[in-house]
Amino acid sequence: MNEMPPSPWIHIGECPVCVNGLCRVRTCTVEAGSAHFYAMCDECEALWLTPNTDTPFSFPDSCDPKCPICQQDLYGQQAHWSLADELRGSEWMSNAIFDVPNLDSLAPDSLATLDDDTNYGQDDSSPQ
Amino acid sequence: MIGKRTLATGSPRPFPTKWTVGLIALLIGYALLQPQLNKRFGWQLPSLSSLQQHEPAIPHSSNAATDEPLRYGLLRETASDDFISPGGLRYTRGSAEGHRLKHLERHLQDDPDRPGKHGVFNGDMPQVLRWLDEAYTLAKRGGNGTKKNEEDGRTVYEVGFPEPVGYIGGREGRRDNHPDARHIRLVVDGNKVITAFPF
Repeated sequence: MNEMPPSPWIHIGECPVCVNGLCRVRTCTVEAGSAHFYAMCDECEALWLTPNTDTPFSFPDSCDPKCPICQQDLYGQQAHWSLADELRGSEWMSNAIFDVPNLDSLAPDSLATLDDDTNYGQDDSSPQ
Repeated sequence: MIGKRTLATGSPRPFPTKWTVGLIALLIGYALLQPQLNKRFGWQLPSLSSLQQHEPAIPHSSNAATDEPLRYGLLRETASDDFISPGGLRYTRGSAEGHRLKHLERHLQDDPDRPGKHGVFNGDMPQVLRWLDEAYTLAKRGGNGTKKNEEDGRTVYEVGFPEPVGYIGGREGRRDNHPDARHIRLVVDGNKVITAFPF
């Protein structure tokens, strides 16, 4: 059940409900092996079925949370925070934000420049 | 020749005044520096109040029993892994961490790589749980400095505090030199805590 965030952070923006949460993309796999994706706020658990926080959202049952698509256990073994490779060919790949961690060595000024540069990382291979 | 014995063995010597003063000074210094050190270095030094009670940091599974010690000195276990605070907030299984208390622990230390903001509480779990009870009580009363927003069954409370309750971490907090946080945002489903953090 414990999950460590993989690199990079893949999300569709800050949560409009709780503000500080990050709407991170999750992968859920059915037994047949096909994967489906949704976004979930890692603070308040708001769920989006499309990669856009301006679209309608829902909340899972707080006692028995289910995947909003296949109704399996939201935090079951078959579900996890998405990895970049899993999103290839989906609308999530082109709409999600890929935030690269481990920028500690960069000065704050450099960090600001990178965050403002929308092309940063687009031509690079994954830093994982 | 045996001299006069100066060490009395029958009665204890009084604690020297200078030691008492020194000890008090140390305690005051620790109380003042503890939140600052936690903020500056990301440590998790316990507050003095929490040192008065020793509680395990991780919730455990057990059958509910009235004679069990209170979790963090505050929470009563009403069912397996289901805790209730004196203020009526419930902490249950849930979240990616497996339990809401484990999720709250994420907000006891900074996550400097996290995109955006990450609220970090100044205190330890007992202190945080007391703040959440206070925030919940104030927010339900709807007093000054509180906000309430309901979204599809979830309630988001925002409560202001006169003193900092934490600081802003994450990438954005680091960029802004970790400003103080004087508000708590508490997300609940009924009285079940989903998340809470300073902002």
